[in-house]
Amino acid sequence: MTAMNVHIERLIVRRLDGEITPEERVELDRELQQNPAARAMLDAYAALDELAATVLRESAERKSPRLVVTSAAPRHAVHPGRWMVLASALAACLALIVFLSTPESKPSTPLASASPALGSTHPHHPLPVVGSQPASAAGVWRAADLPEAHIDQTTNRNLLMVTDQKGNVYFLNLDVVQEVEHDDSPRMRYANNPI
Amino acid sequence: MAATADFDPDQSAIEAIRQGDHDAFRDLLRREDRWVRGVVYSVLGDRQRVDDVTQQVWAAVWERINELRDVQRWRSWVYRLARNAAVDAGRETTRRRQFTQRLHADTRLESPPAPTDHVDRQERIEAMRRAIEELPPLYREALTLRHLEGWSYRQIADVLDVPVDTVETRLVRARRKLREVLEGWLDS
Repeated sequence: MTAMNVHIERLIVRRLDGEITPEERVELDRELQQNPAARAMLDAYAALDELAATVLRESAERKSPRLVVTSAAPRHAVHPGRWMVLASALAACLALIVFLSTPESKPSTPLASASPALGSTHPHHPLPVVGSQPASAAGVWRAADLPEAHIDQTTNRNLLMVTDQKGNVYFLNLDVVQEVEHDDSPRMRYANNPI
Repeated sequence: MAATADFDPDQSAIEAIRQGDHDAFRDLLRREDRWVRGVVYSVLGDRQRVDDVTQQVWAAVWERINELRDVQRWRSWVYRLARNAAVDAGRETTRRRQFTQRLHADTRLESPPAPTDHVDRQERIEAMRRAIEELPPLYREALTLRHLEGWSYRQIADVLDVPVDTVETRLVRARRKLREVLEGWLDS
């Protein structure tokens, strides 16, 4: 690519990015009229930008308004099995701990712990929890009480961030998961009823 | 959205978060989550892990907010948290990708469609996705911030802590590289 072409290419990119000056715009417009290669480059880069923006937006957007647990590995689960992780995550999504929720869900209790990968916790303001009472019987959540969740992979972390259907964002502590059972009426219990 | 304007309303949110204001943190996260996810994606080049890494970043923001010394530079600080988290996560991703690339080497972008083939929009998007993921992370990062948030060169430069000319150069080279890789796909 010649120095002239490099210069024109830079002007084209500036134009696409909204960074071109009026003087540069005049220069570029003149070049575009005279140079089919410059016009082809502008068209190609504009098409690239449109596609790239689509891909990048899609890649950065959260995929689903549902609760999404990207990882879950309850440390105190006692019945390993196919349903264990799923049910644990489902339960965790609703029952546990939470951080950023709706105004009526004001936090009341500090999180039991934070992820060891995250370093020291906030010195004066530990993450709060809400949703402290199971919807059904004391200490037990039923699967029917839990929102839908999807698990992509496992992790050793115990602090998960999820969003709910309203776009609220939650940090969930899986450390409190003690036991998950699944039969016709799956449910889970919490260690020492900690919340 | 002003990334680093003279008056940045998010600075007051940062101060509130330092005092333990959860609502301020929630609001900040909602406003700023997308570009943080963009940085994570641009460094990782693996959208499957964006959720996982981004949540680590935000948890770290909360827990380490008192380590932020210059509130005016909070975006740069969050950017570094995001970048470092993504780099750490990327080491594993890179190993996995190198393995899968060997497995699927014959399905990569080296074979654009014949001129007579119909390539629908979804195929072009998939081709672009692979091309973006093959970009050098520095190019991908600038391209992501530009396209995702519409930030100016100056705003991107402030967050990345590099000269404006560097941002422009990366954006030019990103386009050039994409055009080279996708030649044949765009014309179809």
